[in-house]
Amino acid sequence: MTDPRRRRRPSVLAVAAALTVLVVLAGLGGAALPERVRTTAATALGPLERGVAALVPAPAGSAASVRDRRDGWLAANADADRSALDRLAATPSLAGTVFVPARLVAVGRPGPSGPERLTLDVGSRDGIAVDTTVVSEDGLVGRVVSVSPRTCDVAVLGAPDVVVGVRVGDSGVIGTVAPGPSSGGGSGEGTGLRLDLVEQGEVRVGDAVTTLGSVDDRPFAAGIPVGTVTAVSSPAGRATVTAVVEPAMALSRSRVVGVLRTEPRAEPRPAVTAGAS
Amino acid sequence: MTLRQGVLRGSLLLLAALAAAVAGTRALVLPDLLAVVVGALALRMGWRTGAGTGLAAGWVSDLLPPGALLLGLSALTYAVAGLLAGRLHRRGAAPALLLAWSVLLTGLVVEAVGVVIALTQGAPVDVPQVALRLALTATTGLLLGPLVIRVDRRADRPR
Repeated sequence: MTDPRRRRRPSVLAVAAALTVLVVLAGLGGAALPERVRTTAATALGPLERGVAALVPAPAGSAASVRDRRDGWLAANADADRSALDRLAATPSLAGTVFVPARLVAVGRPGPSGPERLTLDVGSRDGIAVDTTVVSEDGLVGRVVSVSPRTCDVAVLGAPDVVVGVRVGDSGVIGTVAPGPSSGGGSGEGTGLRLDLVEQGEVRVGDAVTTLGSVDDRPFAAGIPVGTVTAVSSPAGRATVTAVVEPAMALSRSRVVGVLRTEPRAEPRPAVTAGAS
Repeated sequence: MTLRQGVLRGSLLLLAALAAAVAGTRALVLPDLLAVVVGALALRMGWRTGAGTGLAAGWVSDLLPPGALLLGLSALTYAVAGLLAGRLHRRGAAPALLLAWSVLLTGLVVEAVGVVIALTQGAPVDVPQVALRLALTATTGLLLGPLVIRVDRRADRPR
């Protein structure tokens, strides 16, 4: 007969692993709890990460080579950050937009095709909201997926959960860009993206790919460069072509980025009478 | 595990995760520093400590901004990796090559899970980059692994 005193109790490890499985299942089921845990952790750990990022010296000549030891965007960032910010503000595709400048402070554990998540040093205190567009001087970086008071997390173009509606070339044919198997190779920072057209149209190598835009410009504003078509194929049995897109954005050049300020439309759009001159 | 050891191991994991996250903004490919800590401690203490350290490492990785897409997945992945690396545990001092193998095994399991998920989603896999990251992880394990073991052993001793 088994001695009840010797009955095995579940170990702390087993309980912790079981709880972790529950958290994963909750995340898969779309429960709010994991996101709340993530936001709480970001509130506590985000400032620590910002502090460490400010202490680590950057390569000479890069945007972050001058350390920011004070509050305020331009307080201690001399020429390097100023010029990066000037270049970003002068980007033609951003003309007329309002954005919050931000610096890259951390990159998440890379996936098999490169970085998928990154952290910026701006948060809800700076007016950042979830599902806003993040841009660099090269083009689209990604969209904000999580916000804490002092930092925000961005899902990068090329991450599995980032699918972008796009227009391609001069004809403006519509499609979607998502990570996918490509034969075109990459730039060394992840492989090329896969372009699937949703209507029939002509696509050529060298065509520019820009964002189509979302309702109220969230998560993606219209007209932001996504990349360039590097290869086109016509798979058998498909009415439309697929293509490989080389992303315009490169993380190594994107230490200073902008988070677009896009507010949902508050006033009703006025109606137009047809035929009136 | 004593409280001192727990605090030390937690600090090591946080340090490794912070260093990897911040250095990621400066470099294209980096070694998996969490795998170095998990692999080294798993080899020293065995599968139970390996799995526990792996679970903690994954949670640190998941919670430190920007975290992962699915909260808890890295924790389970590193736990399995630590458990497998802990099976290499032998009594006495471990040879350097075994330490490198333990760290490589940890990194290999973590990368394999990522690759399988990517393939099931139809996402691309940058094989050279993954291979380079594993090579860097094993090399870093060879260099920093003995230091991790020494620090952990020191926390073991009575004051």
